[in-house]
Formats: sequence, C-alpha cells, structure tokens
Amino acid sequence: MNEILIQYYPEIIIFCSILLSLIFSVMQAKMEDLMNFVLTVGLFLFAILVVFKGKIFIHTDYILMKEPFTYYFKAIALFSFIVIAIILRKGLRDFSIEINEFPVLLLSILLGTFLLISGNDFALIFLSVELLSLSTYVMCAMTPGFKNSTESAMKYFILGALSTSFFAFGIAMMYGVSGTFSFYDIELIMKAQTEIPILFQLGCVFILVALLLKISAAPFHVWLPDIFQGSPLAVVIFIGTIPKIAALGILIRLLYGPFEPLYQSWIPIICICGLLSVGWGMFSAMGQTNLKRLLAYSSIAHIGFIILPLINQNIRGLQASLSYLTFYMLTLLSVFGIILWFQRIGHKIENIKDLSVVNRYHPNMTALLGLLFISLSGMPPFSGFFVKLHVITSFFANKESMSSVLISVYLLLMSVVAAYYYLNIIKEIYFNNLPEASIMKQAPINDILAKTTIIVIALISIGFFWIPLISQIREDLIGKAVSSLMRL
Amino acid sequence: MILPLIVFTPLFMAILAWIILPHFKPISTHILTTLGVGFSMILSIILFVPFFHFVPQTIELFPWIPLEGYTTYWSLKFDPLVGVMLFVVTTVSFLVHVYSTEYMSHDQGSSRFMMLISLFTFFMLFLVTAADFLQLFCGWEGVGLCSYLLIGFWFHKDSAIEAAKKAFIVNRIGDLGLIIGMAVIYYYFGTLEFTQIFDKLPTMINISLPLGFSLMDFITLMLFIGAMGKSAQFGLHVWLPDAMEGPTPVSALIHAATMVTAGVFLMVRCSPLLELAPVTKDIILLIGSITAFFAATIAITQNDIKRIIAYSTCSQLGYMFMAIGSGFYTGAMFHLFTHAFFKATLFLGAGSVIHAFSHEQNIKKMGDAFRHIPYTYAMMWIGSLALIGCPPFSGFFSKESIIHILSHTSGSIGTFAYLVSLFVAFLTAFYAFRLIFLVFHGKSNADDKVVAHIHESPSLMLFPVIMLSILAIFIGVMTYRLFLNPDVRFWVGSHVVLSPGVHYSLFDPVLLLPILGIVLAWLIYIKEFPINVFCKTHLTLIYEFLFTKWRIDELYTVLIINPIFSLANILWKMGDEKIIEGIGPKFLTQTTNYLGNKIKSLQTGYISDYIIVIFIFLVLLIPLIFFGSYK
Repeated sequence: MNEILIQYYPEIIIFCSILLSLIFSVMQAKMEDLMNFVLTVGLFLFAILVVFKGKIFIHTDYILMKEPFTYYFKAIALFSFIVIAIILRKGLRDFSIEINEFPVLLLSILLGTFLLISGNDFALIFLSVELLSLSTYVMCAMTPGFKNSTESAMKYFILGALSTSFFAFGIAMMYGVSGTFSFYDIELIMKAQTEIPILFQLGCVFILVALLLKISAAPFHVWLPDIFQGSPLAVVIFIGTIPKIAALGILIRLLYGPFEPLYQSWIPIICICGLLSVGWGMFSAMGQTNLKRLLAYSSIAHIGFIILPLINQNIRGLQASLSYLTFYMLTLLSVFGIILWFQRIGHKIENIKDLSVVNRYHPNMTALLGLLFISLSGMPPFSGFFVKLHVITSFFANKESMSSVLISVYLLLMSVVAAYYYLNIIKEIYFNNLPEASIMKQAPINDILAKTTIIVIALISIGFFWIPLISQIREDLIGKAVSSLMRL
Repeated sequence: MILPLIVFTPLFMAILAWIILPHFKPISTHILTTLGVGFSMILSIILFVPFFHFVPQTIELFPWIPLEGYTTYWSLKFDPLVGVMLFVVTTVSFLVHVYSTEYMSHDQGSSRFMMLISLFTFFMLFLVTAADFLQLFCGWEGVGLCSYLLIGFWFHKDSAIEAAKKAFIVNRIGDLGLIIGMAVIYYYFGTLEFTQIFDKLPTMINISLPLGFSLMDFITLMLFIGAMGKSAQFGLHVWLPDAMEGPTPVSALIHAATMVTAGVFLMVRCSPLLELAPVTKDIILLIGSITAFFAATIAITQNDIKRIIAYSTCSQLGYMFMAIGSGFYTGAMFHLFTHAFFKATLFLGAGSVIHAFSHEQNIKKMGDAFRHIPYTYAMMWIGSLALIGCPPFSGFFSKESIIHILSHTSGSIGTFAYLVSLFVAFLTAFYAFRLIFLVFHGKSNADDKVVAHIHESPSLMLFPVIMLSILAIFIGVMTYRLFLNPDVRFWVGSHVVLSPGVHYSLFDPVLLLPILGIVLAWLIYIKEFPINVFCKTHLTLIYEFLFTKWRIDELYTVLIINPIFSLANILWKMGDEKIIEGIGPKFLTQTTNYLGNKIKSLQTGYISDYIIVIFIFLVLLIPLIFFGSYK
C-alpha cells in the first residue's frame, strides 16, 4: 500500500496545495506571494518527478497509470506550468490577476492535467476533464469588464459542454458493452472478443471527437481562434498549452491502449482530422492580421502535425509525435512569453504590425521572436525543420504505400503555405515602415527572472535538436515513453 | 621565381590598392600600383634582354581541377613567345601607369582607375603565361572584365555604359567560339595543355568531323572566332571604336597595345594547329585583309581623333591576321611587338592633344597647334611615321616584312590580300597625316578660349610618350633579326612555326605608296586642293557609306538586335508573364489566398454555426468506422 501511495504523491501534493492556497486567498494574502507559492509547488513537484524518475513500476490495473509515458507528459505539463508561473509571477498589464482565486484555478488545472494524463479509468478521466475544463472556463471569464473575454468564455463553455456530452455519451456506450470503466478490463474484454461490437466502435468515435474538440483539431477547432483572440494573453498562454498536453496525453494513451483493437476505426478518423487540421489551419492563418488569431490557427495546423504520425502505429511515428509536441509547446511558450514581456514593458501587441514598432525599441527580443517563427515554419537548421522531417519520414518507417507518399507530399506543400505566413510576420517586423506608435506611459515591470527564463526556453526550443545535453535528455525520455506505451 | 613575381606583383598591388583605397590619399595608390608594375617591368626586361638564355619552362603552382586521368594546374609557362608578350605588356603598362598618374589626377576615381589597370595587367600577364587553354581562358575573361570596367569607367555617361556593354557582349560571342574550340580539343586530345596538344598532333591529322570539316579546321576556326572577338576583326569589330569612350590611357594600354592583340597571341600560340588547317588559314587571311581594308577606309573619313586611331588599330590587327593567314607567325608577332609601341605612342600623344585642347576630340575643331605643343607634335610625327612604315622606324620592318611575305602567297585570296595590303599602306599614310595636318597645321578652328589655353602636357605625361616614341623608333631595327631571322634561333622552344627570312630593301617600290598617301594628304589639307570636297559632293554615296562605318552597326541592329529584342519581348510578355507566371506563381498565390479567405470566412463567430459544423463532421465521421482500412 505504501508503494502505491508514493506513486500518488504528486497528485496528493497538488490537492493539498489547492486547499492551502484557498486558505491563503481567504486570508487576503498578497498576489505575488500566492504566485510564489504556486511556483514553489510546481518546483517541488518537479523535484519529486526527478527523484522518482527511476522508481517507476508499471502496473496497468490501478486507477492511476504510472509509466514513463505518463511521466513524460506530466513532465512537459509541469515544465510549462513552472514557466508560466514564472512569467505571470509579477502580474500583467491587460489582465488583473489581483483576483485571489487565480492560483487556486492554476493548481486545479494542474491537478486535472495530472489526473487526466495518468487516468486509467473512464470515470476518473471524465471527472478530471471536467475539473480541467471548468477551471479554464472560469479563468477565461475572469477579466471583469472585458467584453471579449466574457464572450469567449461563453463560447468556450458551451462548446466545452458539447464536448463533455459527447464524452459522456461515448463512455456510456463503452460501459454498456463492457460493464466496466477500467481501461485494463476493457482492453481485456476487447481482446477476448472475436468481433468488436458496433456500439463499442460508436463509443470510440464519440470519445475521440470529444478529445479532438479539446485539442482543437479541425474540423472541431472552431472555438479556438475566438478564445485566443478574446481572452487575455495570460489566459491564452495557459489554455494554449497545458490542457492540450493533457488531452493529447490521454488521446494517445487511449489510441494505443484500450482502443488499440479498434485501429481500423480510429485510423481514418485521426487521419482525416489531422489532414484537415494541417490544411485548414495553414490556409486560415494566411489572411490573419491579429497575432493571437494567427497563432490559434497555426496551433491547429501544428496539432495536425502532432496527431498525424499516430496513424502509423509504430515507434517512429510516436517518437515524431512526441518530439513535435515538445518542440511546439516550448516554442509556443517562448512566443507567448516574449509577447507577454513586450506587453508588460508597455507595448501592447494585438496585430502583427505592432511588432515592427517594438522592433525599434527592443531589436534583440524581436529578433528572437523572428527566429522562433522561422523555426516554426520548419526551416533548417532550426528544430522546426527536424521535427517536421521526423514526422514526414515516420510515414516511411514500415513500408512505402501510396497513402504515405500522398500524405507526405501534402504535408510538404502545406509547409510551404506555413512558410508564407510565418515569413510574412518577419516581413512585417523588418520591412515595414510604420509611423511612430504610442507607448504606454506606465512604468515597465522589470522581471529579470521572467526575461531570462523566456530567453532560455526560446533558445532551447530553437535548438533542442542539436544542443547536446538537451537532445540527449529528449531522446532518452521520449524513447522510454514510447517503449512503455508500445509495451515493448 | 622571377616569373611568379612578374605575374603576381600587379595583382598584389591591385588588391592592396583596393584595400587601402578608402583610407589613404589617391596618390598612395598611384605610387603603389605604378611601382608594382615597374617592378614587373624590370623583371621582365631581365628575362627578355639576354635573348639567348631563354630556358623554356613551366612552373606548376598548384592543382586546380583534378579530373580522372587529367588534372589541370595553375601554372606559369615561359618561352620566347611569352617573353615577348611579357616585355610588351609590362613596358607599355608601366608607361601608361606613369602617364595615368598625371592624366587622371583630377578625376575623383583615379585610385579605382589605377587599381583596375593594375588588375588588367595581372590578367594579361596571366593570359600570356598560361600553359593550358583553361588558364588562358581565365586570363582572357579577366582582361575582358577589366576592359568592360575601364570602358565604363565614367559610369555616369550613358554612352560609356553602352560602349562597355557592347564590348562585353560582342566579346561573349567570340568567347563562345573559344569555348567550343576548347571543348572539342579536350574531347579529342584529352588534355588542354599546349605542349601535350602539340605532341599529340601527328595522330590527329586525319580525323574528320561531320559536315566535311576536318578536325583541325574546325578547332582552329572556333579559336579564330574567339580571337576575332578579342582582336576586333571584321564582323566582331563593332565594339572597338565605341570602346574609345574610356579614358585615353585605357585606349592606349588595352585597346591598342595589349588586350586586342591577345587574339593574335592565341593564333600564334596555336600555330602548329593552324599549319594543319589550310581552310582556316584562308579564312583568316580573307578576314584579316577585309578588316585591314574596311577599317582603313573608315579611318579616312572620321573626325574623332581617338576613333581614327582606333580604326587604325583595327586595320593593323588586320595586317597581323593577314600574316597569320599566310603562315608568317613570327611576322605577326613582330608586328604586334612594334605596333604596341607606336600605337601606344599615338594614343598617349592623342591624349596629350586632347588634354591641350581642353578635352576636344574632333580634329575639325583643332589646327595650328604645333607651335604650342612641340613635344606632342614630335611624338605624333614619330608615331605616324612608324605606323605608315617609314624606313628607319619600327613599323617599316614589321609591315614591310608582312607585305613581302604576302607578295609570295599563292592563291586568289593571297593575291587579294597582297593588293589589299598595298592599298591599305597607302590609306594608312593618308589618314595618319590627315590627322597630323588637321590637328597641328592649317588654320586654327578652335574657340579663342581653347586656343588661349593650349599648353604642353606636364613632364609626367610627356616622359612615357617620349619613352614609347624612342621604342617606336629603335625597337624595329634592334630586334628584326631576332624575330624574323631563322638562323638566330630566337624562337627555340616556343612551338612557333617559323618561316624563311625576309630581306629588306630601301628601294622597294612599295615604299612609294605611303609617300603617295602623305602627298595626297598634304595636297588636300595644307594646299587645300578641293579633292575632298569633290569626293563629298560627287561621290556622296561612297562617302556616306564610309562615314557611317560601312553601316555595320545599323545592319546589326536590323538583322540581329531587333529580331532578338522582339523575340525576347514576346517571350517575356507572353511566355514568361502570361504563361509561366500566370499559370505558375501568380495562379498559385492567388488561389492560395482565395482559399485562405474562403476558409477564413467559414469562421462566423456564431456559436450555433460552430455547433452545426461540429455535428455535421461528427455525423460524417461515424460511417468511416465501417470501412476504415488505412493499413
């Protein structure tokens, strides 16, 4: 029993700290102290994860799954959490986090994420999805007097409710066939059967659609651009990263776990959604002038790149998918981090054009941002190129079929479109002469820690394929995660 | 060790001048480049003067293109032929450098000018010391490039830019011939090195190409096309008169003494090949005589002092090619040698005249200047006498020997060439002295202001001209035995095909022709016999034909330039803009943008729309589970 408890330490700690922060916020603690507390919790958890790295023992029949794969996803989620906590520690301009519930929400999202990633039971993952989603809805709506924010929170809530209903419906069908919620049992039952019941397949479709809604893969992405545009940056950076990591984690675990026997059903769904995401995201991003909206569409396209290799059902595909996810999360964090940094020193970045004004005052940070965009567009020698290469070559790992050739050609063509709008940003930054724009007269918030963190993350994300130590860690972690998931 | 120093010092100085150019006064670059070329000159005189100690050698610097079975080296070759060229190039170049320091001193880009002529000198030396065709081609292109840059030196003048472009483009046509020749040589001989090619010659005589060409004829014809471009032979000569847009020292160095003779050098270098190609030799003889004739006829009508000398150069180059066509390679080389000095004298003297007349180039607006600029006057006399082949001057020995050999050349083309050479000798004397009489004698046609300003050039400009004129007087007497007497064994080791010796006679009736020309010029322009007026009014057609330079430029415009331009226009407007760009980039970008906008408009912002979209796709996805078979 003790061993099991040790395994559950992270979740227990988060839960306790939620309670603690509730008490703190009731006690009218200062915002910065609360954020520091959140940061401390994050760092402490990270330390625990590092300590327990070697002590994972896999048991598939418990309610919480502990294996290198979930460990890896938790690590990314926690890393993002810490980075965001560092960035948000001293507050923001357009977003008043002087609302004391903010840390509680942050920690709830983290708890939901952790439970979702390692949930081994449909009832549990349903609850954790709800915990995660409800916290994010509240977070979106938390800016009083900000009309767009309320609107986007409303949309998010309604579509989230739709997703939840699909999810619940799918789980109900699953339960109806198998009589259990446990992944382990369901998988056993499936494998025992010669012919898979239709209800089970239907349930699978509904659950997948719900999760695809959560990760905003096309054609279920419609809510994302509005949320991105409407919410304050501090919220966007949160909902753009951590919930997606969680949803992707459980999606991959489902696909390679209980839904494995159903691969004939889910492969076309993932394939079509992936292809649609890439195309739809790329083309929609082209005409955007609002930076957040553009990032939303590009995030849809990148999600396509992340889920497409899953249809290969091989190690290479999974590795490519995880590499891409890590790369994309790091890059997105640093892009948002830099934009946030601009915002807190007084430059409001709403449209792409605003960047050219910033460039005049902070050329170094803008150059870093430009490099990040170039890396995102997939240009060598930056990481973006290598992860795309990884994705495309993974289609040829097993055998060369017509469909894999077609998919890779399609991805290459779409990368050209991506290059168009990412380079367009570079063009807007450097080759546009704009009249002097007004600078906000507020005193800039100086936060060396945040700035340093952003720069380090950005550099890691640009070069994480060839910075020796980091690429070694990446290979090691991803390799272990993949082999644990594939039960090798 | 001396040879690399000769070749690379000008390059080194040019680079040094280029580096320090923005930081120091112009005078420093002048001194640097002049000293560099002077150093080269001294070394080449050391190599050239002890005539009998030539040791033909090839210094391999380092490998360039390693191929399977054949590796090209950067190398420097030395033999008598190279020695002659080194002497000519470095001497004229040094004197032109000295002259330019003064002549260009008031120009803002004088440092650039010095750097460029230094660079040109390097490329020319690189060309002549080449041991294989490939390296020769590098030098060949290098001098072409420098010529382009120097013709267009005053790049704010449209005419200069046009002339530079013309020179470059016309030379490309010739270069194409050279490249084809080189390619065919490499194909059949498997090497591009001169010595190896000459060694393999006996095995290659009987190879014939399709369409009835013999291999040798084809190769040498292609090489000759290259030489035609560089040496401004009839057909590809159009760039040379226009090249006079460049500063006068450039005309003296590049377009009289050195670069334009590169074609002659190439032909002499390939004389063993040419000896096996009778057809090409006939063609060369024909083209050479046509060039000599047509350029001389144009020169008698022109009024621009530099253009007259330019056509004269063209005409003299025709003489050299006539010599080559008749197998008299040493004579061609000898004429190249003497011509370099007296033509440089004439050009630099003309520069001095232009300088004196406040940058006036029209000889009709000069006159009666001999009292004001006596030194220049004397130099022009010496240069002209040497040009027309007056006995003790250097031109006599070279031109006389060529006419002598031509008189023994058999065949109808040979006879034609002989007659042309005689007639051109007459014309040469006429236009040379027409120039002198119009510039220095008669009544002054210049403005009073200009006349009051006529003055002798400074000594820095006179010194090089005097040196060149001394060479123009004596170099022929000093060296004709060396070049033309086979008993002296001067050419040993150079593969140049020799011809029997020439005997000079002061009582050759041929010498009457130049005298006739001088007398005619004297009658017309001093005694003012209205012969020229008569020609202008009664032989208008011929006069116009000559005055408009045989209408070659117009012919080219109609026959070549206009069709190419209209074809290019069609390809550009129709082919490129409409078809390729219309179907390719434009269509693609427009479609992509259109698609992007369409897809963007799907995002309405209404939550009911969103839900409908989600439901539609959910319903569409469900059937997929029944026939999904990706693997």
